Order: sequence, then C-alpha cells, then structure tokens
Amino acid sequence: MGGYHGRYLRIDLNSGTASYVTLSESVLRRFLGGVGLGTWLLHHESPPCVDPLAREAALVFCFSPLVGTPLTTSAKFAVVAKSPLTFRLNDALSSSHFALAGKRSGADALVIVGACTAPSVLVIEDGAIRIESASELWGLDSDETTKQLGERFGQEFHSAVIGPAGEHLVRYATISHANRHAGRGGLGAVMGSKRLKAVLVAGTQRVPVADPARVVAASRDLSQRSFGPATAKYRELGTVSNLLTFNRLHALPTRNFQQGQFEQAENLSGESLNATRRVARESCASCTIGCEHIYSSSEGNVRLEYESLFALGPLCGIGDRDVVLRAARLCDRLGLDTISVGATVAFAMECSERGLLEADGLRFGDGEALLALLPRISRREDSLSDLLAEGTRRAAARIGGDAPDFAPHVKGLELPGYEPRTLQTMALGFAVGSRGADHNRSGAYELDFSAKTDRFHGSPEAAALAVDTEDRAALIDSMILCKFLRGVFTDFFAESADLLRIVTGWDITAEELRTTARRIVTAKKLYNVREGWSNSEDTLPRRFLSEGLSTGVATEATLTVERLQTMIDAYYSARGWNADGQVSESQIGELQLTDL
Amino acid sequence: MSLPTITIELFGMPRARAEVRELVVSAATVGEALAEVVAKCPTLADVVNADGRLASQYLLSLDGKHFVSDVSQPLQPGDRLLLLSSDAGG
Ligand code: SF4
Repeated sequence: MGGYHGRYLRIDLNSGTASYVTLSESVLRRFLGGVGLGTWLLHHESPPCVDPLAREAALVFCFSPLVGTPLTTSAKFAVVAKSPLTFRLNDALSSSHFALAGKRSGADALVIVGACTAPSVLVIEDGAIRIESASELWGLDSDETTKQLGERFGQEFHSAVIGPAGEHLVRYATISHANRHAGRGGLGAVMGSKRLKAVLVAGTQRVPVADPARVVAASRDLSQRSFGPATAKYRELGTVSNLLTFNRLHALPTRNFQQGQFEQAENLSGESLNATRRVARESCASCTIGCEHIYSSSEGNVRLEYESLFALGPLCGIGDRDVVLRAARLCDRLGLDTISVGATVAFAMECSERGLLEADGLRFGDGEALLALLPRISRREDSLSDLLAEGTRRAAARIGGDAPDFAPHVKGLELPGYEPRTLQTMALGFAVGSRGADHNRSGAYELDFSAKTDRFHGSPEAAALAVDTEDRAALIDSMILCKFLRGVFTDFFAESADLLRIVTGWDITAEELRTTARRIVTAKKLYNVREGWSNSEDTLPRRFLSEGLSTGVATEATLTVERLQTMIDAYYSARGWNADGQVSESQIGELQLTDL
Repeated sequence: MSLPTITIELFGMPRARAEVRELVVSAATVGEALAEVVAKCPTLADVVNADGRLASQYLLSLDGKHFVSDVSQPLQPGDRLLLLSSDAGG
C-alpha cells in the first residue's frame, strides 16, 4: 500500500506520552485521509457527548495519501474535532508545509487527547514527542508566535499555532499555519483548552508510492491543466471578484442579511482592490495555481478572500476598504474566523440598533467600532466582547427577545457570504450541512449559478444535485486536493480513482469512490447523531423563512418553511436516509460503517 | 428589420479581460450576442467554443433572473446579459 504509513500517532498530553496506533488497510481504503479519516478517528477517539473543550476531547490533524507527492495542491491537512461552536463534528482544511512535515514525522494522522497543565508547545519529530513551555509565547499573536518558534526550533520545524482568541476559548478561534487557517468551527479553542500554543512537526520518514513514474507523469499533466482557463479566475483575480457578481445577483449578504445588495460594493470590489491595493500573489506549498492575492493596508499586507471581504464589509455595512483590510489582518493575527466574527459583530450591530443590546451605540457602518471590537473579542476583555466571543447562537439566546430569529447561523455556525433567499439550492446545503452553514462542504451554490435550477424557487428536484456536490467535496477533502482545482477535471470520480490507484496501488474505481464519498458524508452524520442531532437542526434562522428580500428583478425573493422542508425531505430521500433524516441500520451495513 | 439592442454586463474574468464594464451589441439570440462580444473584444475570444456554445469557464445570466445555456435563446430589445466567471463561489 503506497501513500500511507499505516498508523497514527496518539499523543496523550495528560501523561506526556505518545504511541503509534495501526491503521488497517480497510480503514484507509474506506476513509482515505483528510476529513474522511479524521471523521473515523473522531468516532473512535472522542468520547460520546464530550464537552469539546474538556481535556478528554480529541483534536485530530489528518494528512492524506497524496501529501508528499508532486501532485499539485496536495500539500493539505484536515483538522477535525467536536466544535465548541456547534457541538457537532467540525472539519477544517489548511495547507502547506505543516502537511508535508507532519506526514514526514511518521504518521497519517496526529490524535491529541488530554491537556497540558500550563501553556505548552508540542514538538513532534519522527514520532518522538516532547512538551515544552510556552509561557513566553502565551498572549502573542499568530504572526509573532510563528516567528519566535522559527527562531527557537529552526527551519525544519513547521508549526500550527493559536492566537489570543484560541487561548481565550473564543468559540470561533482558528488554528494558523503560515498565515493560513483551519478557520471554521472553533478548532483554535479546542487547542487552547489543551493549553497548547503550538504543535510543531518535523521528520524524515517518506512513504513510497505504488507507481512513481506514473505519479510523476500524472503530476505533470495535472500541473499543466492547472495553468488553464478553469483556474484563471483564482490566479488572476482571486475569490474577491465574487463580490460584484453576488451584488448584481442580490446574493451579497448585507447588514446582517437584511439586504442582498450593498451600495458601496464598487468601492470594495475585487476589481478595485486589485487595481489599487494588490501587492503580490502567493501560493501554498506544492501548488501551481497560486490563488492567494495579497493586498496592502495600513495594518500591513494581508491575504484577502471573498468570505473575509463580505463578512467584514457589507455584512457589517462597512464600505471603507482600508477598514476591511485592516480588520482581516487583525483577524489573521488574533486567530479569529473572519466569517463568524464578522457575522457576530453584524448581528450585534442589528441588536444594538433595535435596542436589544447595550453596546456603546454600535451601528452598521461603524468601521472603527469593528476594529476596536476584534482585539477585545479575542481576549474576552469585557462583558460585550465576552458575549460576542460565544458566537451568534449563544449570544442571541442571552440577548433574548426576537434576537434568535435573526442570528445568522445553522447549528451554531455562522452563514458564509451566500444569501439563501436568492440562492435557494444553497439554502438547502446550509440547512443540512453536518458542520452547519457551510459553503465548502456543499457546493449547492453551483446549481444556483446554472441553468439547471431556478435560484429564486428552490425545488426538490435540486436535492439530488446538491447531494452530488457534497459527495464531490467529501472526496476532494479526503484525498486531499484543493477545491480550486475541481474545474480541471472532466470526470472527477474516474480521474480521482486514477490518481489514488497509482499512489496507493489499490485497484480502486470511480464507482468505489462514489460509495466512499457517500460513506464519509454518512459517517459525519452518524457522529452528529451520536452527539444528539435531530432533524429540528436542519433548518435556517427564521429571518430567511419569514422575511422576503428585495431583488429588483422580480417580486421579492421568499423562501418558505414549507419549500425548504420539501427540499430537505428530498435530500434525505436522495441520501437514502429515513424521513426523519436518520440513517438506517441497513445503510450502515451497506456503507461498511458498522465499526463506528 | 433592425436587431434588438442588448447590453452585456461584464463581471470577474470577462471584465478583467475586456477592461470595460459593459458592451452594447445588436443581436436576436444569445449566440449572436456572444459572437458580437467576441468581435468587439478579441480578448474574450475564449468565451465561445468552436461549436458556438458558451465555454465552461463562463456563465451567462439573462437580466439576473435566469442562467442561460441555450445559445439559440431569443433576445428582446433592452435585455441585459450578465457575463460572469464560472465557479462563482469561493
Ligand atoms: S489554489 Fe490557492 S488555496 Fe488552493 S492550494 Fe493553491 S494557493 Fe492554496
């Protein structure tokens, strides 16, 4: 079996010990790596109904069979844990040298349980671990922490770190590596609860692939295709170019989802940012696309994606591009998920304007207030920032009144920059997502941006197509390759099988991978069921189901409870689940999930 | 009989390539409009495939109401076509 070590490293911070645990070929073939293998590990290593911030909770870093090969965009890792924001499974991806060095440390995954008694760094080198003091690092931001770790441990070590937000258990704190983030769901808080400021990895243990010559040839071919038109948008403009498109289509969430267009969108557009502020383009390790566009701000240079731009800009009613760039830079340094913090501040702005929340006169459009709040939230400095550090669901419950109706989350995870009333297949994707409202585990928006569906009138017919986008995401996140590469494949499952065949040596087929993808999505669902999921969670906040949205092109866009439920029913049916969304015993058997 | 006047709004890659926000063309169908776009802006030559269909890296929306893939679709005077990059998400 090529591409794997066939084991994970289990690290117990309580005792300061580590041991390898064998991963059978059956497990690896059924779950591949990344979020798939991470899900299997979480089932086994995290006790049922554990508090995500308890010392027994598991934090999993998971690599993949493709990590370390020359295949473009393959230097990726998944971080998987029970989310302190949603109390459901959370999987987030990040990239670059941590993945390469982590896998070279001798394992296909790192499973961290227990907690340190004082701020610490965990150092993993060729399977041996040591725990060192982080007392002088505690309180530093992600950039400074990474810099000091580089000086202390040298270039061969690569680190995943938390900023102040992780230390203070902000429920949407990130884990940072080289200024990239495992961003969603509060994984940084899980690391902070273990008093881990950083995990450092290094090693020399490379794994062979089954057919090296064909892997080299496939890598050349994939790299060549990655220079083509399917990725031009990411190379030349970056995702910030979504903003004007979404604005034109009334799909740009504005002022806490009260509008779908922002009157200052031109000022914040990717086009104007690229013309006035772009200073560089960078890429993750092992990537030939290079989608990271770097912009200047008075706070320093910053990588900006559409999601940060929408959340810190239009969602908060802020049109000043320097404020948005500075806010994004601050979030990177403090270790805050830009989507969740932007949504939480926007929600607080609306609560303040409605008189539901005493917040120093907080108003939409107040950029200076946003900039002042971010460091306060990251350290829970006062009662307001402490409340907002809990995310919109918990904050709304405490604020009371009708605040929960317009708190923009599903299962506790704040919505990304896609307006559900004008992108109604995406609304379904948000409602049923295992980690909550999410645009990376469901690509249902692709259907809204196509002639296959009517984006203003979601239909049950779209459910099967939405399932397919989830399955593709599950596979690409488990192999792992970057989603920005997806457009270069003509037959994604068949070409993925080709890649896995030459790396692993397995006689794997497209059909097997379709089943694998379904298995992984279902395994995530089963984890959530174990943790208390019920179908009442598969919904959207009341605002989206009771208030219309002006669109300019038709009568206002509305999404009713009944229409959403029809889509959800069709989704459960397309997944082969029961009418209440539960997975049947027979399907558990068919998908070879009986060992969960 | 004169052809309908159609406005093409450009976003993302099409706007970057053409370096204009919109184009005005005369066309009776989506296919004719795309041919006019290419004639006016040779930097957008890759918008249409050899068979005249929209290339997969682009999307076309009629007035923001529906996405269109059928190039034979007739157009009415005053229609606005939005030409976008595909993979509109992040
Ligand atoms: S396309 Fe962008 S996110 Fe993906 S691997 Fe390359 S640089 Fe990283």
